[in-house]
Amino acid sequence: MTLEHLARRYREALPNPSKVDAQARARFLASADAEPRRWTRWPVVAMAALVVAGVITGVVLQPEQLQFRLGEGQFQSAAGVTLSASALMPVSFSDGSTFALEQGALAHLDSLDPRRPVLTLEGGAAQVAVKHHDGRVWLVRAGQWTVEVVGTRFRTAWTPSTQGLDLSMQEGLVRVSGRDGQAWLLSGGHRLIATGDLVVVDPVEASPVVEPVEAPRVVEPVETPRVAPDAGVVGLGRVVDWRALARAGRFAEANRVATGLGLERLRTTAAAPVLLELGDVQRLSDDTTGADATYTRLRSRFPRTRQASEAAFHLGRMAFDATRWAAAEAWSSTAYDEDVTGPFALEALGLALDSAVRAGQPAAAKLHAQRYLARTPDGPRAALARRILGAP
Amino acid sequence: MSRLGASPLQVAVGHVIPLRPRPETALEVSDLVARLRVRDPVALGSFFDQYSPLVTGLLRRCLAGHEVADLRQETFLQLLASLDRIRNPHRLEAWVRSVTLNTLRTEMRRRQWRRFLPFGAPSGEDDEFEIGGTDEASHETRAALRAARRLLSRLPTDERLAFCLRHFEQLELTECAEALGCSLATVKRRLVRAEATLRSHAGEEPALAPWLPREESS
Repeated sequence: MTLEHLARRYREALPNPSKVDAQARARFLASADAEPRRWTRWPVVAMAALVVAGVITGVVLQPEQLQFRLGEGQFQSAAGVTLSASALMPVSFSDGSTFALEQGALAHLDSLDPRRPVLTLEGGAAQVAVKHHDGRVWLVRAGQWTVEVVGTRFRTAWTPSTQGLDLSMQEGLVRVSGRDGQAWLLSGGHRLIATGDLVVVDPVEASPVVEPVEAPRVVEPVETPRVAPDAGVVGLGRVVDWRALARAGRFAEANRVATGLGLERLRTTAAAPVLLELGDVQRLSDDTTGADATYTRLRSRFPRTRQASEAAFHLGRMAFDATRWAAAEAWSSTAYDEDVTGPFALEALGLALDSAVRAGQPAAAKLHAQRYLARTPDGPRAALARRILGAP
Repeated sequence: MSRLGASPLQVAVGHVIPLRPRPETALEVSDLVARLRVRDPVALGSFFDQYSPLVTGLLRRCLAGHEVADLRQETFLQLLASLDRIRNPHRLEAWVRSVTLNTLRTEMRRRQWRRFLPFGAPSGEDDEFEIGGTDEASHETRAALRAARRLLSRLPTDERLAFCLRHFEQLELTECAEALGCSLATVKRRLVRAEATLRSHAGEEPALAPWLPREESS
């Protein structure tokens, strides 16, 4: 008489679980640093150890508060900030990590939690360099994707319209997970490309090499403009000084140099990308009047261009920051209407929605809310949109 | 071939290949162990993802009750605590199984002692199941499982573990011996005794009849 039949039925009734229990996983990760059960054999010692550990954790090992700054600016600790302006604004953090947006990219700094800081890439590409810090896991989100980072360098790009993620590892290790719970571990040299539900991971040898992130090039201080006031072509030769300063994050100095060159001349002669850069320099050095004039001139000289739409978006943001809600709604909805598939489109739509609510424009708010939910039902302002529409 | 290992993470020329389930590829084992030692959160998550099904399944088949979740947690913490005792990082699965068995052995003995204590209420070993991860199992299956549990509970801890490894986990005898930390001959002896005990008492559990061929239940 054998027991094989019973064993087989028993095995079939109690198979290995097919999915990892997310709660159990979180519980394990949360207590991974704790000592195992043997402490429970000496409850008194365990209690004393817990007290000591609590004191050490609470007082001595209190994680350093994380802060960020734009370029060479002052460190700030407020999260919930939208980041844009690409090379003009490398974002660096107090732990040495950097997040450099490439041209046209847009990101949102969601959280500065010292254990789990969160950045969301709304669109475009970014160079990310995270410095390892014990107990700190960075989350970089892009659509349905979440990249968990402990210490590494990589480049990632997100295209909302195609749900496309492109992540190239340079060094270190990351965990990339999608909404359905699938996850990949990538280390230096790997590249993950996802479009919708299709995902490939590729040896990077077959991919274009991505240059490592470099710290912003520091430019010697410029006391006075080193160019003749009648310099004709902006963007060539030594006339780029203000732009180099801007790329080093020294916006106020860049603005002073550009002002020395003659702002009116620049606004009249510079090409659209340079003009947009000038407006960004002024905006980031808190010269909102100058930025307003530059963006407005850009829109009049180069209508129906991508730069014009981006200028409208920034005009909307400046109006929002100045609590001019009606103007913010008007500029933001213009930015959205002019470039509904652009990298700023969703942020512009969200801003228009928020501004319309604050401006007391229910009809506009309803329209924006409908559009917003249709475009991004999980977006950061989705709850507001649902509230306006009375949706659950 | 991708450096991510043997999973189908490849790019055919001009084609994009969707990944099959279990796309996550393990770190190089030695790298994983090194990262676990410094409590690298990514490595911890990967380690749990990779071995949780094995640990949970083994616990669930050897021991029922609410405490499976707690034991899984304890097992993983024990695994972390004993990282320094890994002799061969390339045999990680065997090590995970061995530590899980130690946890099981401790828990089974604790349950035995609890029976003699006035406040040591039964642990619910006989009536709590997570059958196939669903609640859809038939009444008949649940009844048979309860009966099988009662039958298994007649075995001493070491014999029960040997039986579980050999018949439920389907390990080779040498693997059973390694996991239990005993000789091959000892495993064989335990299995013979366990099977004899189970055969002699199987007839006392009518609910097991559907799970036993006619000649076995008679």
